[in-house]
Amino acid sequence: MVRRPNPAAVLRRRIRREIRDNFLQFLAVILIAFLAVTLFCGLTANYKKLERRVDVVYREGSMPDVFVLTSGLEEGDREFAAALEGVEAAESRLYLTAESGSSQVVLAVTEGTPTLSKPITEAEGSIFCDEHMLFRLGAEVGEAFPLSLSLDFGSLLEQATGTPAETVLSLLDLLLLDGGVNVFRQEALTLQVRVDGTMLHPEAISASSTSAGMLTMTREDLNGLIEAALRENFTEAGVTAILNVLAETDLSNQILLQVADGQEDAVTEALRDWFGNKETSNLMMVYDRESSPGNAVIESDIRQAQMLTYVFPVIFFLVSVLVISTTITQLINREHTAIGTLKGLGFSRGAILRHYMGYGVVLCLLGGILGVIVGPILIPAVMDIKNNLLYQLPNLAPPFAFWEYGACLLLLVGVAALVSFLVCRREIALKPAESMRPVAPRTARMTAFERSRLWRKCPLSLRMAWRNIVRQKGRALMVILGVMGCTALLVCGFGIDNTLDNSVYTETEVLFPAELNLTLEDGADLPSLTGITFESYARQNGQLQSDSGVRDAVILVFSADTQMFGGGTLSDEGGLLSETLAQKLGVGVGDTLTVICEGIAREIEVTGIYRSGFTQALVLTPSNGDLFGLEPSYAYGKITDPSLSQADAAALLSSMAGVQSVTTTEDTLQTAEDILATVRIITATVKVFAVLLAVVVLYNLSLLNFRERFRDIATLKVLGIPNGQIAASLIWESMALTLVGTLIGLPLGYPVMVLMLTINQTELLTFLYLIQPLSYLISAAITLVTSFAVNFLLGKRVRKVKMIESLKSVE
Amino acid sequence: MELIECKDLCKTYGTGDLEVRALDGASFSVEKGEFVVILGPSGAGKSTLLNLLGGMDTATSGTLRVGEKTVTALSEKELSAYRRKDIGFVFQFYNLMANLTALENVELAQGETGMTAEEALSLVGLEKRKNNFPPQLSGGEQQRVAIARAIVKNPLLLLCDEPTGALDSRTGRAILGLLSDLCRKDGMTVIVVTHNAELGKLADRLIRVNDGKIVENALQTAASPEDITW
Repeated sequence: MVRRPNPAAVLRRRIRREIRDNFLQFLAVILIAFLAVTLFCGLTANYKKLERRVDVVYREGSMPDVFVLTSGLEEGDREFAAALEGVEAAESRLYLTAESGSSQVVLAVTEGTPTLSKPITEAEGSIFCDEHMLFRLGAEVGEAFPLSLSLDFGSLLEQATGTPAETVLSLLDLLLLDGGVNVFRQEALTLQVRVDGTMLHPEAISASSTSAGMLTMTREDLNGLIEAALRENFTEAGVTAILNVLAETDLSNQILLQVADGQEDAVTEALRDWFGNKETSNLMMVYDRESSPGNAVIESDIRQAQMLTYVFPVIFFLVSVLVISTTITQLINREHTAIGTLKGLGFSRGAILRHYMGYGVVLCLLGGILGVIVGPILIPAVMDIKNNLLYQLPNLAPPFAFWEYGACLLLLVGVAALVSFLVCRREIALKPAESMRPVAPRTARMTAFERSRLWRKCPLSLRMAWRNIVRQKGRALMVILGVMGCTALLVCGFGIDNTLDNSVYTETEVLFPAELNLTLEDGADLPSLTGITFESYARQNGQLQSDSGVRDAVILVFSADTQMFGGGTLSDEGGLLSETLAQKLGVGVGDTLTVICEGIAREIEVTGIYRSGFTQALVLTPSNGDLFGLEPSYAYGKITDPSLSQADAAALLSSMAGVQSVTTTEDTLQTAEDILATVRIITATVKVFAVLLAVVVLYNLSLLNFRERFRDIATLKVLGIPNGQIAASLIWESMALTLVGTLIGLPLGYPVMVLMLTINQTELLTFLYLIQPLSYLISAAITLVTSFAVNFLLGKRVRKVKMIESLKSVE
Repeated sequence: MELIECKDLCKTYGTGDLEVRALDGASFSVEKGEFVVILGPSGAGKSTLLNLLGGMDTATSGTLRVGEKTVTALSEKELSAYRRKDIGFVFQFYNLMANLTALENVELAQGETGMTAEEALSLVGLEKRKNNFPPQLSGGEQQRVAIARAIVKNPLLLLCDEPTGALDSRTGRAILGLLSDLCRKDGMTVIVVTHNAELGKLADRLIRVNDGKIVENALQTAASPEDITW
């Protein structure tokens, strides 16, 4: 039997050979499809993975739905909350901020094994802390580290015994061992804690420096630790007496609730009423899971990551549409006669259409499938470098988002098919004979410019360029769009560099101009060293609450006339808030915030806003700082002696008594550069991508233009017009369009930059957007030079055109 | 003195076994003001001869002199100037720039001396259509524009490659009439290259080419364009 090849199969073979033989020209389409799909699928996998990791922690750690923070639970509070409609589980706990060295630790103590907000760990035991905290303390599992509790034991004992605090304390003085100290007279009680293991915890997702570490234990553990501390100082009788008192004291200050879905608001409302109706309310805050500080941070990061999944690839999708359409237009144009021949051979229009649409589909599929494989592997891995620095979450494989990936591929291939269809449609509609004949040149009405007197003065090459543009509006638009994209991406790339530099500069030169940052030992005096002026300040982590939510923040206290803070004038009336926090909390100058720090809640007015990329703080003067009992335990040092280097000053200071540690601006800059390294890579990629886009679009369209005017060029050569002049008319056209594209692209750079930077924006890092005029200039210059280079190289081809071509019949 | 003197002109393409002698020792001369028809079947070498005459290609050997210039000795740049100043070229498919008006197409070839583009257009009877674009003109009109473009610079030589090849016979006759007038009335030297023997009747000098050689070079009495048919 004779094998009869199927004509469609022959056409498919043709696509395959064409792509193989002109691979470089088609590479751009594959590359762009690959980038678009890689980004979309990768970013989808990233946010889904992050979301899933959070879900797992919340589920396994039984994240509560409602948090009730009080200054100390009173009779009936717990019972009231537990009995509310919709409440499925309730648990009370002691929650307080403690310190270990200069690190802050949040201590959560439950009566027994916690049932809500519980640690996720493999380890045996009941005392756990998060990994990040252990790392910061430089401690290990099973190793003791000091923990200072600043509980007001005096008033606790007073409450428990009904005797004035001073009387109880005096009694305790009598029960001291030889050389023992009445620890209850001190500001803080220091315990020696050994953790049984590390944990993941739904309330300790954030691993940033502004978040305190989390330590969980049972009341029994706490009593044991206190007992151990007491035994060093008190006699057996004293220890027993104190422990008896403590055992009967309810230390709990928080209620955690698990609430049926949809009941959160009602429960919160009822609780506010309950506490509000008391004579003096012991309520500090009530918030639900959504607005709990840790959750708010990660939720906003997930939402941002999700948004980027759509925003970022949209740019690439638009670019791919542009690149596909120019490439296919070019191809179809080149295949003009081949199309006529195929029709003449009796192929149906549909078959021919499918054939040419096949190019776009095959190319996009090639790039797309590669993208679906690479994206979900590569992007989450890269993003996890950042995520794992910021969050403590279980490690999971990225979920395979079948529907999203499928839809993305389908969309891309659909777009490719549609663009190819639109480009081919007219060509295919022609009758076979028409197809085989040359394309009839288009005529158009004269524009007003062409009738003007100025027109007569223009050189012919310019007039030809103008007419080509006017008569090929679609192509002109594609050039403009491509060039516009290139310029916008370049401005964006350089703008990101400017923004980073600006953010770092503002932080190290404007806000905190001092070169040295010192951590002082407890109660130590300011060091004194010639050539450096010092000023002490206080720093503590806290929480800010407004009507729109709760946020973790740093509380800084500087003297009112400080030289070390350049963010604005400090006032005793209130505090300066960072712009980022102000936006997140929805407050402005004159508004009031609830500030919680060291277990104390106070209302503080916002008297000003400052901008910072890195320090999201509320800056107070001592008159407000004292409300929280904040003591200056840090200092800034400004070097006044120019011969003293930062490193030398730091070395000198570190060896001085009372100085725990010193960091210099140089160190900070180095750290910043390390953190920002990934962003710098992005900017480099963006710039390369921008130039690539311009080259591909300009090359495709200029080549198309060149092919269409092949005969014209040959004729002009026969007419004796020098090659340079012929090339000039081609370059005129392209450069004019490039100029228009560049001018439109310049102002678009800023919004593109803001979009791209959002990918790296976190709760901790805010970008102070800035694009220097020089960046605009360089971007425009690169675009114009790229365009000129592409056209210049094509112009060189004019020389190679054989004049004999002019004698041939068209095509 | 003859306007064109051509001696032993050879043009070979390819090398070795694949060598093709497109033109094999062509020698002839043309007087100023003559209407010359170069006649031959396709592949005879007439296009090669045309290319060499027009300075669009270089000869392998032999000499070609047009006016004062030895074309075979000119450099690339000089050839370009030669085409620009001395040669008027009329193509079979007109080869007008579609995005330039009739007037602008003529202006394209306008030199510092010679007539203006408008004068050239009125000479071919198209002054009224000067602002039309080529696709808006008929084939005959387009060829007239092409002729205007060729003569605007007052060339030494008007080279026409199958000037009626794409036209119907009536229009073709009109174009030939125009070329003939340019020769008789304005003293222009016209060379028409064609495979159409009928056109040979118009010539003062008929040159037949076959297999790269000149097989006939004869002076004759030219017939009027109205008298020929094809």
